[in-house]
Amino acid sequence: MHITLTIRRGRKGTASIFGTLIFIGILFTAVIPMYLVMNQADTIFEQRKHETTILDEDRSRENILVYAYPRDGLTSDYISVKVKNECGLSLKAIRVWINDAPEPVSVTLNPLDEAEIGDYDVNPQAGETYDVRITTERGNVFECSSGILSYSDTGWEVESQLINVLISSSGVVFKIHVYWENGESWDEIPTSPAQVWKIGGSAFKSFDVTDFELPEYFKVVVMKGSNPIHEEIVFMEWPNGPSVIWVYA
Amino acid sequence: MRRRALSEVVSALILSGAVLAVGGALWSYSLGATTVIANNYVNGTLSLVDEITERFSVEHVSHSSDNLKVYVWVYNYGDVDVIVDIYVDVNTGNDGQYFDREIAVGDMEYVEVSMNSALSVDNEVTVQVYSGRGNSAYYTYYT
Repeated sequence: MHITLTIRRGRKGTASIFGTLIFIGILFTAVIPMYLVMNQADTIFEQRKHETTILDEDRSRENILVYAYPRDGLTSDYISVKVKNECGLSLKAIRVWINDAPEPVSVTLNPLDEAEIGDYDVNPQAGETYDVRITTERGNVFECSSGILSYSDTGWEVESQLINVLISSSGVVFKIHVYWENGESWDEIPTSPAQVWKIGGSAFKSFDVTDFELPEYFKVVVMKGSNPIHEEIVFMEWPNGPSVIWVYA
Repeated sequence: MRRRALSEVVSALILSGAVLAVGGALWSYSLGATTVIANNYVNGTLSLVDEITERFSVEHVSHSSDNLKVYVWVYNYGDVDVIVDIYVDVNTGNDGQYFDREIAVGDMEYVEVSMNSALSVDNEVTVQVYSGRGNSAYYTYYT
């Protein structure tokens, strides 16, 4: 009786052991590798999704100022393009557009860097206009901040010649004075002074200086109450440089 | 006693053989099935990765001097090659299409879209670019 029971236990044990071994084999050679591969695919997906989110955020943060101007005076055949990186990211300009013609470039700009691109021979004719834009590697297209260049019988013209003042200092109401250099004295321009209010963290005012004979020096004074908080002398280089100047206070 | 022992051994061998045969078949099937499942899952996930990392934009639009063609420049700034279809619609009902233009990563492609009729002054032209993966980009252009 005792012997019979032993044989039966042995028979059951053998089948169970084989069954268990096969189960473990399937688990380790099929199920677990499948799970690991799927997990790896999920990891790749999450990683790429994260990278793409960062790319989109960086793209939306990109900001550059673009200025186009003639290379050597009002009757020059050449256009130069100045770009300034206004954001906290490094970016790469990959194309300059002049009207419908793309020109490949490769200019990397670190935060707040400036670079001059060109010259481009456009062989200007009276009555023609030149719309200049810059494309970045992240797919943004930035238009010329001073508008479209045009060429007339008297030479190059630009849509606007501006002094832009952006105030981020503490305070709410500011008064901005802009002077032009008249011989040895500083005379206030007709649209000065201007009072501005800070809305959404900064105050902005643009002064049109198109009527002045350029190039010209200007002095910008920002007042908070009776106290000057910023004073800066700027040089409007047009037609040998950008026709828009930014003053930050 | 001896006969019974032999029978027990044989039955144990038969049972073990059966377990091994069924187990082996199950193992083989499991390997194949899990491989297929894993491959399908990985391919689906990688396809989804391509879909979410695909990026392109309409960089510039212009038109021909005879007003019969619209020129579209599309830039692929994403991480995968794209194949796009371009639809141009004008507020006057005029339209044009261009299909299956492949754009490699980092490239800009220029496409000429022939219009059904000539554009006129002050037309509002809408350019829609769709990729095979379902992403899109838009641009509005005024003649």
